[in-house]
Amino acid sequence: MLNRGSGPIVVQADLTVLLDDRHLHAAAAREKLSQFADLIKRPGDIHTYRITPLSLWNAAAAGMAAEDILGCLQCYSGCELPLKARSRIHMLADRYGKLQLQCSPEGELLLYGNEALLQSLAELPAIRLFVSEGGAEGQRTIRPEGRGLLKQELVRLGYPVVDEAGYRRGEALAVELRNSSGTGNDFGLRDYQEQAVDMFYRAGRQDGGSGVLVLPCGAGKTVIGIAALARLACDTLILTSNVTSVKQWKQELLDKTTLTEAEIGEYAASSKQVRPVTIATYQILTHKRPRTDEYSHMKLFQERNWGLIIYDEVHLLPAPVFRMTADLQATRRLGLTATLIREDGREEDVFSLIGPKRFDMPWRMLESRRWIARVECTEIRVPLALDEGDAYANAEPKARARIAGENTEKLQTVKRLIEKHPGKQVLVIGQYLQQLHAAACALRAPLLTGELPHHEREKLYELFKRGEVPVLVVSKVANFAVDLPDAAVAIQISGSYGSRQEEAQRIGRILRPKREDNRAWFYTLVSEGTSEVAYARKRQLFMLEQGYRYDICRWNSSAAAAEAASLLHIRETAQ
Amino acid sequence: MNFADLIGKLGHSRIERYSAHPLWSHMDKESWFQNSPLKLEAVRESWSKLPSEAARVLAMIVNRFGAAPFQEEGLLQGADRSIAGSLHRLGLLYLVEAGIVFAVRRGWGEKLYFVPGDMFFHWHRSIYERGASPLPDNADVWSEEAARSPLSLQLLHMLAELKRTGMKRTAKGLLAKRVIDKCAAQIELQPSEAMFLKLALSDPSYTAYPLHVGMMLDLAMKFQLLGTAPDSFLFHEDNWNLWLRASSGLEQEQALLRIVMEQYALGSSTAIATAAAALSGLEFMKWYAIEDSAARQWCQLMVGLGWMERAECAKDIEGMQSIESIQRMQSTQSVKGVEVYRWLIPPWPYGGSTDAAEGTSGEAGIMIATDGDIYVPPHVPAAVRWQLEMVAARKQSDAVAVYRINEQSLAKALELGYTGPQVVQLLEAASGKPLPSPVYVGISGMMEDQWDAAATKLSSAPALSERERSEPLDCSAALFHAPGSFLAQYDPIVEVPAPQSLFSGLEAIPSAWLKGLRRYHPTTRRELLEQALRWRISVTLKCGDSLMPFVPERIESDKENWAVFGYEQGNEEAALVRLTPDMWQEMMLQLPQLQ
Repeated sequence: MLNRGSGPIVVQADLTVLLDDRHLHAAAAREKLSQFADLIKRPGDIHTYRITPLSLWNAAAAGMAAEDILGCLQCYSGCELPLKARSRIHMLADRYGKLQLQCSPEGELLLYGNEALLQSLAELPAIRLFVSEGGAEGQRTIRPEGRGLLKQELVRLGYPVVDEAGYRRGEALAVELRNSSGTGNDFGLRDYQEQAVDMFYRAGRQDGGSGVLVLPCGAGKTVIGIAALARLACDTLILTSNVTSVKQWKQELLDKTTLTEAEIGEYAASSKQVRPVTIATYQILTHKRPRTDEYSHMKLFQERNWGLIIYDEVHLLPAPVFRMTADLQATRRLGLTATLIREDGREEDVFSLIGPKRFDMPWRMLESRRWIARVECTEIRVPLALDEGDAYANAEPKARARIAGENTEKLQTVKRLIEKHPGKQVLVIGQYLQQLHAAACALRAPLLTGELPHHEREKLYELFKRGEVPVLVVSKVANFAVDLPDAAVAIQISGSYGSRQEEAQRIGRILRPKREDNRAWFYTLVSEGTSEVAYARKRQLFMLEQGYRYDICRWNSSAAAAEAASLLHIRETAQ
Repeated sequence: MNFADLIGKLGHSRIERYSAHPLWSHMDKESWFQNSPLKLEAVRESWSKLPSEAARVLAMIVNRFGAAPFQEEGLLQGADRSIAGSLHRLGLLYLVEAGIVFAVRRGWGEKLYFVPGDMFFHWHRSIYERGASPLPDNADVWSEEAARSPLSLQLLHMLAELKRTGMKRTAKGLLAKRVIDKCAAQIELQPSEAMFLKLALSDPSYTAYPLHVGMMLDLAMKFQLLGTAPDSFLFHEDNWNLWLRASSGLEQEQALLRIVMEQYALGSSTAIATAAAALSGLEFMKWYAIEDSAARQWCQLMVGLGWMERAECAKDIEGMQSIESIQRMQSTQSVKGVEVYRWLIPPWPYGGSTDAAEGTSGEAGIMIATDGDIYVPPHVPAAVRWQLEMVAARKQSDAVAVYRINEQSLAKALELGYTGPQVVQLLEAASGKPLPSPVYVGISGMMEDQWDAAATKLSSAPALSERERSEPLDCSAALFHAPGSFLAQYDPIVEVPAPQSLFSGLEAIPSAWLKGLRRYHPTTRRELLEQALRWRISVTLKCGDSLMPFVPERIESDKENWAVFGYEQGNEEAALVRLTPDMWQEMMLQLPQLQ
């Protein structure tokens, strides 16, 4: 065992936590750890977590006190925690709530906190910019336009701010949730969806109205966003990742609320409708006019008196939108995502500018309640095609990744996997267009990439949803926010290096609950003996953290007969 | 010099005399040969039996000299002047007779007295039984620094670096600067934490190194883990293997702590020695506020060696939510609290058994992950860690150390004579299971040139981890041969002079001087006082109706008159008085009772 004490974890002085998965109480420890620590890796029996300021503040925002966290660590460690770790957790966790932004009756923006702390912070040039002169003991007047940037800067310094300064109402909008959907089915929020909205809204309190809700793909985040909109009943700007998603939002709004077509605008591609509820893409907001270098569509934020901004797939928020959001702190902001992980490390900005994590629903819990499909994940190690082996060995690292990703042997595997699931709707997802074209050709399936115009994409999605197209080959345009409820099998033939978020999102495409057989299968094909294996390890981290297991198999391509081609289980199981 | 060293030098008959002394009547003779130091309970009981004068002298010695050698004159000069020097001399004789203080001489040179190093701590503990009180268990204690690795690990890391980088010495007899810098980087003790050790290093040449490096080399030499050849250091393989197989980490730490206490505490200054002795009485894992500067210095060294931990505590230690603790949490700068320390290992020699401190035993194996990281729990034997130092790179030193096999570490392993199969074999033996295939593939790929040439047996690589208990580390042997004890060059003085010898000429003086108060002519008064000065005894003076016991210090005279300067006996606060012959009427000499 790792631990001389009786528990499954060891807490190191630098706030790394090592969990021994062989221990009897490992599962219980893992569930607790996920509330305040980030999983870094789990190659084998020893899993590495890290407790960071942000993970602690998110836990604190969810109501966990330092004593709760320390008690948990102590319990699962079974021996005394390193004093430095204990001190640091105490210090960081206790900082949450010590600085508060509030609005005075006269409408002044005030920062409250311990006077010594305020004094020392106000002396810093980066903070002084936002602080007005004067102020009583324990409070400082803040320039309203600095509300977002101040929070951002304070978080960077290690001081989270609880924003209770309230929000402007925004333009009132008459909107309610329907009791039955547009298709005539009964409609109501699921209990966890209701809970998520409640956690965001916080009964209309001053500290409510900003934050991020984290739920698995297929759990109905769109419905939650719509419910929040209906709760607040105000003009709302919805930002999402692609045009398909814009249309899906619109569809859902019409289906689930009393809003009319005239009240919902699409602001994407060629459409520039600004209406009480407007749905735009991040891409259009960050589009720069040639020669002027100007974000010409950012003015959308000022086009109406928005009472709520919904950031769908908030983990994709691009930097210019962050900057704009810093100026919008008086507007309610709701972030929706399945994974808070950002590969660019800007989680702190999500925390300070959108808000803390308000709700986090474990994937397995939803699965156990059948709200999402039960998914089996399998990593299949495919040997490199003979002629590609030499090319791989002689190539530069970046080129190697591509060679491994585009391993032509994978196509055989895809075919066999599709044959293994007769009657199921299958998505084949990849990174490289050339490969996807080859796959579409080999499988005689339609191909959906960014090359296709949006209306063509919509047609293909519709055909797929109706079951007329059983296999669809898609590029990363289908990674996010594409609703394909009956997709039951996803075969990932290549991916973007070690992106955990992409892996989770792709699995999310098949998580919608299925009517009869509520199961789904995710296969990730990895070229054996290449860097793809290491990337796969990293990619799988998020799912592993959620409690999923990847069965690892080796593709036996040497078997002569098609039916003899088999998957040989190798000794490792990534877990 | 330790107790055992002395016993070895003194001979059987002398030991029998000690053991027959009434002071040790509660102890059997065999204890003199078996225990070094003698058991604390036996020492405590002897302390309680000591005559008051001998006890006073022993307390003076422990306080002022520690275990360092001293001359009798040095003892008397610093003594309470209101007590006659002869009493101290008699007390010293008693201690020598009883085998508490020992005397040595080199040739016809000066005679030196000393308390054996390891016995010093027991005497200190017996004399100053009461220790500091620990902080309450719920005291608000915090720290921004991590506890250091214990000394045995720091030593292992440094010696591993030495082995990897090279042990050659320059023309000046020192390691090359590059090697020194690399070794220094492996040591968590800071030079500033060991400043006071400069004089205590057994080889003065080590002061040419950064102090923390010098100390590590010193220790390695003391335990004969390292030796020197004309132009390099070298490992004493047998001793090193014995060291690596030492039965438990804590036992190894205590062996090191003992050496550090005896060599460096006692070799630095008396203040440090007494501080170290006092601190060794603190309870394991309890926090104490330490204010004495010498004690703090010693604590800082202990922190640097990974045996103590330092923290801060709110000044209002009764309340956990004191203003300071809240401000500390909120402020950008931490509010200074009271500096507190605690032992992380049971302190030698009073920490008691290491069993409780060891905790529940777990597997002694390492864990190797598929990504090449190697996790080393705290109870993994030193022998395994040594192997890992040779073939892997250490990523993290903490409760669980983390190593990683990479190209650079394997290249170094190759240079040291390891082959790929040997690396695989030692890792599998240490983990108790086959290597994860990615790791196996990685190693074989990185070492493929050596793969086919591998011998089936391990040839040059040192022994692998051994799971059986082996003989405990014997540090006394190291001490016996330790080059640093200069007393080893002196000869013990076996014969103890009789107390009467302090008063030579006793039979020649008028007996009346001793028997009662009498009037004397001023000239005779002076003679009595001069005799008292020679014998360092006190006199009794009758001044009017009162009697004054008086300890003369000196006589001053001019052509016609003279006066005596001295102190009222037994009054520590007494100022120096000047008496002329007309100030008293009668007098007598006060000879101490001779036993």
